[in-house]
Amino acid sequence: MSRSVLIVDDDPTIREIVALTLTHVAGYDVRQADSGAAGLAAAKAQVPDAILLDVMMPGMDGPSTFQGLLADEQTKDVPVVFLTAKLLPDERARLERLGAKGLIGKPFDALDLVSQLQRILSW
Amino acid sequence: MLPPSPAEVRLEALQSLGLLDTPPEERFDRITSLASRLLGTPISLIGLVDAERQWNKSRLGVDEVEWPLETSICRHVVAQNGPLEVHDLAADPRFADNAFVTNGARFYAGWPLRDGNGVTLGALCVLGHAPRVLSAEERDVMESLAAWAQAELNAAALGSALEQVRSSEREMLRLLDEAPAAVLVAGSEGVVEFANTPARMLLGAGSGSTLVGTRVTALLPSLELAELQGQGRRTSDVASPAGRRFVQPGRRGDGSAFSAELTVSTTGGARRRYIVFVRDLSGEGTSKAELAELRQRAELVFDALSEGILVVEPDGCLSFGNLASAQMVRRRRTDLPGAALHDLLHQQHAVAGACELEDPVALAGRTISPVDVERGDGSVLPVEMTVRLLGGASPGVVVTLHDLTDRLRHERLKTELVSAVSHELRTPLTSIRGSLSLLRSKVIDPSSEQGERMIEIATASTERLSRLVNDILDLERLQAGKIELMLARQRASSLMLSAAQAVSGAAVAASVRVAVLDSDEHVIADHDRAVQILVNLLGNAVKFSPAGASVTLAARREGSRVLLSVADQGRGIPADELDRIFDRFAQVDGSDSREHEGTGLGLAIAKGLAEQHGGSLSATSIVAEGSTFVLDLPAATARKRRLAYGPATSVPDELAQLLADRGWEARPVQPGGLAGAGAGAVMLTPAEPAALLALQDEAAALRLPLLTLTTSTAGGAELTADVAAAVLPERCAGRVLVVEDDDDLAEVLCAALSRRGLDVDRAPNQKEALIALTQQRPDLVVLDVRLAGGDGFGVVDDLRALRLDDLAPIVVYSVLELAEGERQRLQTGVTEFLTKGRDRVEDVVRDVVRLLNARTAAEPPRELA
Repeated sequence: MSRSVLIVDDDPTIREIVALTLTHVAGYDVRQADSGAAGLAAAKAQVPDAILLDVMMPGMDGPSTFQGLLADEQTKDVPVVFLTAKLLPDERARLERLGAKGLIGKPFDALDLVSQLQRILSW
Repeated sequence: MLPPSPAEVRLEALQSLGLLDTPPEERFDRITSLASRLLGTPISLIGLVDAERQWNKSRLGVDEVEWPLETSICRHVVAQNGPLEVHDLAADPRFADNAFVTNGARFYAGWPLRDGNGVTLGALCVLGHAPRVLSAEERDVMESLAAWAQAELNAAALGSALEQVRSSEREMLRLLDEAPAAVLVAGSEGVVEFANTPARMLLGAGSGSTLVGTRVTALLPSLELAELQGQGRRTSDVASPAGRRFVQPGRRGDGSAFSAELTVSTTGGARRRYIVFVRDLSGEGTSKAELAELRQRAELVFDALSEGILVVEPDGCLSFGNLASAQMVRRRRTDLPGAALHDLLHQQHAVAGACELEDPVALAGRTISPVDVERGDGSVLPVEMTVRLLGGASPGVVVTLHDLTDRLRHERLKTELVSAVSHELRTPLTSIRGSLSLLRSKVIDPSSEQGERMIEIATASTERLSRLVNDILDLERLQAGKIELMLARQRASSLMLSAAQAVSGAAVAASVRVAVLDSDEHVIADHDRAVQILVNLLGNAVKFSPAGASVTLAARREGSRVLLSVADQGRGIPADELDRIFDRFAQVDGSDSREHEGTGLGLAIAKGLAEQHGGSLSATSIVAEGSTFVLDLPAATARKRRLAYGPATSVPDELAQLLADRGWEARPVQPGGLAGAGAGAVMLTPAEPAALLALQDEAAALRLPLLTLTTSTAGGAELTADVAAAVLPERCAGRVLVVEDDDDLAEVLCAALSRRGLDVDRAPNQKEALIALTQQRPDLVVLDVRLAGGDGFGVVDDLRALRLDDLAPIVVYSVLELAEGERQRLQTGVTEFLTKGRDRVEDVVRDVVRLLNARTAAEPPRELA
């Protein structure tokens, strides 16, 4: 059975590209959510093998969504990889302290995205 | 034949000129070079004729510096004391055997060169290889060039005479400098040309300042030029043998006042000068009262500063604190003296601890930033603190406090902006890179439907990126004050209609109706920028409105303001978000910018533009009902500019409206009524000649500019631009040369330029242009490229050859669309290019005025003789 990944990002074109990449390059089963709240709901409805989470989103941002995932029994163990436009050192440290598996910076190359993800998750 | 004046006189004059057997000089070579160029001759000379030879100060096309008298043709010019033109040298028995003629010369023209007393010394001549008759125009050229050469010949003699005058003047000034009293020497305009040492000590900022170039009336404030010139009246005037003497208040270089006794005398001679003796009547030394006054004055100066200044004595306590420092620590001014510095700056933890502020003297020479000042009211103020050691017997310090609030806020905003910009830029970049990498790696087939979608995403993201970059640049230019507004009276309705027009496509696509309510209000605004603001507001309103909704634009007057509103029936903006919507990248829902293709900067730009107009932009909103954005602009005041239109009994509605929209009130006028019409200009309309002439005469008597309305008059904007230019021209000073072969156009250009107060010369061809350029030394040249004689390129080439091309800026006004290479050929120092047909005469005038004014502003102050 193929692995399942949930992508949570407010930008529709980025969701589309990430989804296409993960489907076509790695053969993952990809689902999308356009906000933190929708991401929490989707993760609980069907627990994915990993979550790709955008940091800067209106309303519930990436870190808050992550806290929500950690607070839930069902989702607390799902590995989370952040997608972020800002890769300042203190930003990276902050996200790692929260318990994130890893970070992937924007912009990213399609093939690179897959290899980075696999390396972070040891898939 | 011998010259009519005795040869001895001429020889003596030649000797005193001091030019014989001197090396060549560019100032003369320039003239011979010009003569050859203008007349197309291979040889040109400036020859001086002495007892046995012709010696050439300048020569072109000839190697020999001199030749014996029998070979000299110029001696005949000297002999007949007038111009000599020999059409065919070979046919003239006087010259048939001449060495020049046997070497191929056939034509000679020479003009006499005289000294200051009218004694003919030599000639400016040209020699050609073919028989020839000079045209009247060419004779003018020779005459002008000879006059120029003559001026150069005599310049040296003038110079040495001047040097004698100057050396005696220097001697006088040296004596004055040693005089025990303060002495100023001023020119007829009251500008100081010399101040002796005592004067510099008394009136200047120490002996280092020269005072030269300062007005006497600025040094002695209550003295007026008329008084200096003896035309004013003053009760204390006393006639004295040395001149007029009076007492008046003076001001010393250090700003202190004193009682001055002035004695003014006038020098004779061509250049009138004033010699002012100044005596300080207030006595020697400084009294205690004066000291107190000095101290008070210093404190007033400190109080005017925005930085806090504290004087701390060696014991750590204050002896002085200025007004700003009291405000910074939120304490009364009277609390400051005696207070300890530490207790004042750290009011919240006044308990002594290991705080470096407790020993201010130890901090001398340091700048500490930031220091959080704990103020009397409990708040904290970040400051930069600089401590300097005070000189003198007791080693106190002076502490300067600089409020950092603005700087820190600015830095925070900058950090936030950089962070926001980097996020906003990376989002489209991610889409571009992601989609292109999928295509490049062949994961997705470019020809498939998904492949096309990727290309579409990459394209759209590229556009978004470029919009974003443009907006960021716009915003930065706006904040740097680099966006210049062309403010004019604008009709609110037409601004709103233009904006509605611009978004009509988007409105139709979104099924949103845009309504513009008619209004008679006028605003002062830059048309394009005001429309840009409205388009932004209107675009947002359309984007965030549901299908079937409407957006309404309206304008209403409120006092001296006009409020233009854009009201929508969209989803509204929550109250807590309203404050931030004008911030950069602050759309209510961040996803708006993705779904609605905005950059998140539009409202920030619109607000900035509104503020640049002296206006504002604000918003009110009710969630689920809609938002209203209000652009507040200054109202255009009542029309004051009046234009008489006649002979007529009424003004056509269309014309009246056209003029009214642009701030002109047109009133009909009949012959005999112009004087009472209060008009600033007259527009004549076709009518019977008698009535027209009568009005023209009245206009001439009233010195009113005339405009003629013909059926072929172009569109409204041009028409009123002409009206405006005719009535309110920006004045300017300088000398302009118009090089233009079309007589009609030249006349229009010259008239338009002289209306601005300029001196205008005209040259119809390349030759005359060169003469005018070298003789008149214009400040600016308006140059046509295609000329009947020669061309504009030739004029510029000649200028370069003669090294005169740094003389004047050039405005090229040509029918030709010039290629880059051609432009470079015409480029000298400052060169502007305008195209006939596209750019109008008024554009030329505008550029000329601008360039000349820029030149005046850049010129260094002229040195005094």
